[in-house]
Amino acid sequence: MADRKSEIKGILLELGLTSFYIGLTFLITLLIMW
Amino acid sequence: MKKKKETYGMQIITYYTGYIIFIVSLLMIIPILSSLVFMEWNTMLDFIISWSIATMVGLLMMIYGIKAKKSGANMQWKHGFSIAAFAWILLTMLCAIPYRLSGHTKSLLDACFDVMSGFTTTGLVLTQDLDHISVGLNMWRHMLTFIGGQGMVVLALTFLTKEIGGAYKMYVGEGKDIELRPNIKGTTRHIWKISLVYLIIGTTILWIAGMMIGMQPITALLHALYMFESSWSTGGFAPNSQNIMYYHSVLYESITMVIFILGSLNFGLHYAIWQGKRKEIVKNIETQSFFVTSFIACVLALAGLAKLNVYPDAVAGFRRVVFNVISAHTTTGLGSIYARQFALEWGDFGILIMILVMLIGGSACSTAGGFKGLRVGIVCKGIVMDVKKLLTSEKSIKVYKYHHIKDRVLDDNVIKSAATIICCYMVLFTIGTLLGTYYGYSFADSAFESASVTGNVGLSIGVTSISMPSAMKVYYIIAMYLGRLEFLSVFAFIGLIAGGIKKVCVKSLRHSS
Repeated sequence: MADRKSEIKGILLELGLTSFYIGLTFLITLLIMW
Repeated sequence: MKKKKETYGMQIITYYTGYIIFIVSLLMIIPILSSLVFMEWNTMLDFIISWSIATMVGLLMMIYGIKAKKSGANMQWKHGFSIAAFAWILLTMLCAIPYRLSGHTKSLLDACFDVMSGFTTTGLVLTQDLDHISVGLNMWRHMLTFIGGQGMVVLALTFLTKEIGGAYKMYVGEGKDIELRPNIKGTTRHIWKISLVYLIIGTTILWIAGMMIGMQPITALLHALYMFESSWSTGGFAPNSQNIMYYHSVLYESITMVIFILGSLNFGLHYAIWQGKRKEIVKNIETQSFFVTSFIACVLALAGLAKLNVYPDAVAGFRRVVFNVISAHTTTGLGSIYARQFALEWGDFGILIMILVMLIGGSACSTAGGFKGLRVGIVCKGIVMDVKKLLTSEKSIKVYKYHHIKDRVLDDNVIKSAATIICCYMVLFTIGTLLGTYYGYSFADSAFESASVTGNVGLSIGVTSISMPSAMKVYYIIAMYLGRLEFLSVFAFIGLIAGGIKKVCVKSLRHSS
């Protein structure tokens, strides 16, 4: 497996993008329910 | 010579099934220790009895098949597939013993239902009085779903001291085919590495969130561990009868959402991203498929429910609609509304959306169920490919590709095998719906529950209960099992048994004549 730094970056990217997606769905909810 | 080979075939299956049982039974030490810490003596005794039985069964099977192991007999595909299928059946029965001994299940069938639901990461529950279950049994319930998500065969192969021939065949038999490393031992160890790293991160975050919403540190830690195992494995179990609603927290719900979305992604994708291939998350056909279908499903469900005026504001809409749609799509099954609210408040349109996303499911080679985004993507690309072929000149030859970790050729065989598995899921779903309507449940209720078991989701509309007919419980167990192992290994196992019975019949007929 790649070095520890790359793994940490990968984990942060996964967590960040998933959180962003959830935030996006919340914005869509706001728009639709408005 | 041929006879000897056939006997070895049976012995190979017995040996490795016994080995898997032995390894999984070792995990009962964890609930035994937790019962010891929390001074739950009855639970500890239940697990000691169960562990003794499971270990004995595993060891006896290994002793029976040791000859084949020592002779170095070759493991064929049919053996590898049958080992996976057989181990899942035996383990379901053995792991149900502590459930039955605890007195929280009405019958052994109910106990087996819950264990299969855990192993297949479905999350439907027949265990009674969930709010007063011992820590030991709760630990076991959530461990089952965590192990099941990664796979029992994957777990057993992780503990191999040296590489064995045929290990890959057992691994594929459990419905996983991605190769993270050149050898299978390395691949399974990396699957566990990914899961355990997230176990530490996810449990810590949920622990802090639990304390922030007023839970005691020890209780918050236990709940964090249970909810992580349940979310990451896209399981749907919870340590209480109210499921995720127990926490009354947007923060807790949002964290579990992040975890179950990550759990529903392909282990190959996690591995690629951790290795520095960041673009994979955008290029991969599975992530594209998941984000498009989940986004559309959320928008449609929100629009449908906004029209019905069920939820007053955006926060309620997000917590009740988006959470449930994504929970269904990732085949998690954590529910933020009561079962009957789907039937009474969501209307036919909302139920239909849920059925569709439950059937599609998450990614292949992840902890999720359903017929998988990869297959949806392949079939959709296949349709586009056919249309393009029609529109271009007959003389031109073009190779079509799709991206899944690496570029792969999209040919008719790939499309055919994806479509075949989708058809098998649809048949399983249709039979389940028919059975539900036969027993008097409404069409919508039957279809919803059938999609939930077929896709290993675990959301319920109220059909699954201890009063449900036994035939439906048995069918749901079979559907969860077939859905999780993706049919082929079970069919191979049935074929092997049928072939054996046929040979015995022919032999006895010859003797009598």
